[in-house]
Amino acid sequence: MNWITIAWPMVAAACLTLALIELRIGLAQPGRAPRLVFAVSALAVAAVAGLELALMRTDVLAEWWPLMRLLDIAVGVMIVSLTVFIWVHFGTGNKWLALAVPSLYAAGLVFDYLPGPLGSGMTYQKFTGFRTVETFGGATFSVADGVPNPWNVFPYLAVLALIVFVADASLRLWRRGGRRRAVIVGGAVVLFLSIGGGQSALVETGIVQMPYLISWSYLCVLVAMGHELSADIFAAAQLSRQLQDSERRMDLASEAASLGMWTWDIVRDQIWATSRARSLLGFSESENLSLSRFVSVLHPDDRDAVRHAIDGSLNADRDYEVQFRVPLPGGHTRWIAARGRADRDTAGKPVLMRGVVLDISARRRSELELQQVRGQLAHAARVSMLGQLAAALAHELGQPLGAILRNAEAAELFLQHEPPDLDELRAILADIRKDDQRAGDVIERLRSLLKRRSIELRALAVGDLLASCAALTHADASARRVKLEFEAEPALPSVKGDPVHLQQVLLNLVLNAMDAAEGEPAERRRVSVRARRDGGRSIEVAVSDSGHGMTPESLALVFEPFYTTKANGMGIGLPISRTIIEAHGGRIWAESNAGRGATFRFTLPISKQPMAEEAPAA
Amino acid sequence: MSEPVPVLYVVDDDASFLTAVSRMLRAAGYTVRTFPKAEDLLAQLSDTPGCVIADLRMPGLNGLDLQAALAQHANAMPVIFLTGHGDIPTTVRAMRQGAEDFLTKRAPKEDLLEAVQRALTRDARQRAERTRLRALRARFDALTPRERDVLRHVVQGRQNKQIAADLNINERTVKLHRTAITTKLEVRSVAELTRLVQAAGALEETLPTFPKGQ
Repeated sequence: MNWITIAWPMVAAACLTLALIELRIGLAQPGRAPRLVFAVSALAVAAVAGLELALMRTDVLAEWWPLMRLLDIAVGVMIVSLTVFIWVHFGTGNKWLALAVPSLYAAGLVFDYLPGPLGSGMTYQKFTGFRTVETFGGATFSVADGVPNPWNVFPYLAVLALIVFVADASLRLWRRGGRRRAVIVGGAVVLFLSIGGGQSALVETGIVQMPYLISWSYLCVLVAMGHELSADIFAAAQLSRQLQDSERRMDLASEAASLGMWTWDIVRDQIWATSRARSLLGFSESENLSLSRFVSVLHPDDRDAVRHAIDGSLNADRDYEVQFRVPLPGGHTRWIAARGRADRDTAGKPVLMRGVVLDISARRRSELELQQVRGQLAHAARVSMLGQLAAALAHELGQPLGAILRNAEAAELFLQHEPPDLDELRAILADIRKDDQRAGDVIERLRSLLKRRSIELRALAVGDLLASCAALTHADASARRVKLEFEAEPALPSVKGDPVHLQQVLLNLVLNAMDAAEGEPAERRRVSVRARRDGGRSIEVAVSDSGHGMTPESLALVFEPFYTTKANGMGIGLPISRTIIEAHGGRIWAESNAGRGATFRFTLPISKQPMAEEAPAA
Repeated sequence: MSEPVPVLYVVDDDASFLTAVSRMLRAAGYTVRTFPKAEDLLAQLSDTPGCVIADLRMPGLNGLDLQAALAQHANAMPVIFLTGHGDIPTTVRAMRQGAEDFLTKRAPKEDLLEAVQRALTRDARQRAERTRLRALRARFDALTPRERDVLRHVVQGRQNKQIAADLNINERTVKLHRTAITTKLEVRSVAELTRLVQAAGALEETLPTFPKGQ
């Protein structure tokens, strides 16, 4: 027993260990072919180590030859597997060089099996005998003596080709940026091949009296691959830490933002959702969710919108983005905003949708409150505007009431006649009824404008809007001696609007225009209101006056709150008008006329649905 | 009276009120003509007695315009204004222009009928006055220019001698002119003559100019 019998098995064991580790990793993870190939090379080296030891321990020719042949095969496996390893691991190797390595080695290996003088062996052409050599620590080993086979240049050429191949692949890898791997792995392999190949040559030519050290030189590769492996492990550990970090951050963010997350497996129609998402939508923790189950908890009015949004995301590749209501037990409603995106397979077919849900009830509530405040302000402005019209409207109401009174008085007088004129009395009663209706209409118009209500859009005829405004303002116009004209293009399509709020805007503009025109001599006081088509999508209403016009500064500022050019103006009429028009999806602006005065214009989108037939007023 | 029946001219742009008020006035026994516009009334004015009942606020010519136009007319009938509601400046202006009355459209029937009666009485009085003045003017028109010169001096209280000196004529001639004047104007004394000239104030333009302030 000497140190040699311990050292070589240790090298073999180390190689075997590495081979098993690489084999384990290579088998566990798909796409790790380099690991498997490398494991083969390590196994081959373990075999080489064993054979090297066996060669040292033998001095019988009959045992020695087969061992040499086995060694040649093991070295061959090692060289070829290393070539393949570098080829697949680096991906930068030269194909011809890679093919040259096994070809050259195989050419050399042939001599181990050829009969006759040529076939005596790849390494030695002729065997002369054994020598026992003593080395450090008194350890002894046997060395074969013989005439080297001149054809054994083939295996050396194979090693040389491998060295060139590895060096070339490393250099290319270096240029591509894989510097660490190029230096460590490429360098270790080149070093191993140089040492192993060089030392073998020295042993075989008899220059040195040493055992083969091929397996020892492989330790360079062992160290390099160990380093690679540990780097991989460190990287994996770091990745896992980062992943954990990122997951925690995600949790924190979603928790802070009260986001619920979900994933919809489209193929299996299964929805996975975080507990927050489940609680927001009113599902229990354990319930199995599908698309139809999800849609079933939505407010019935929102279901189509959600389905439409999902279809848009799946078919048109838009982001899924929708707001919907979830009715809660107890009559409350939760507003949810949902966002998501579809994942597609390589064929572009959506397979998965991921997204979040968020409770936006509070935001909706404050939006509603804001809307209410706006509504109140608009209402206040409307009341104040009707205050301006009050005198004219009192007159408007005075006409039918005066007529009713006179008719009643006339009836009394006719009744005193002998005989009473019944035809006249019948005519009087019919007129009284007609005037009562007239007075009622005035009051109804006022009442609808005084009512406080939110904007409700419906199909609305612009002609009706103009007519109703004309009815409200003609008395005021005649009192102010302003010529007021209303004109709507024939066959205008209906718009989408709220009659009361639009009336408010139009009244505001007409009253302003009359204020402006009133500064002119009576014969020049004109206000015109015109409605016409503005392209295919909207209708424009223009209110023009013959007043003194507006400065460019005023034009820019009239829609700003509290800006006014009138002595007792509040500067809220036009800003409110703008809010109303914008809520209708239209635009409002002012311009100076080429001649005199100014024109205010607003647009309203044309309604897509036909006008609903209104029930006749009772 | 030999005068024709008075007519009430009602003007209002509100057809329904126009019908109602004219119906009531007819029931009360009046002859009524209705006009939807002030312009129509002015185009059809005749010399019949009566009064105008007009809405103050109308498109085109309004009530005050109508009143002003009527005042220029030979048949200057009194105007009663009816209005939905009257503001003070308009009322003041109407009254200053000589409106007979100013009523709201819903004033009691009695008020309206009283106002109509007052207006008709005033119209009759003004009409009689206009007739008397026209007769007076006819008498003054008979004077020769020289007689008018003499009359101007007489009403200023000047003596015959002074008049003769001023006009550079004989004193006897002055006396002859005075006799002709008193005969043509059918007066017996200078005092009566002075009163007559004052009463005919409306005929100033045809008379010798009076000193201001008299």
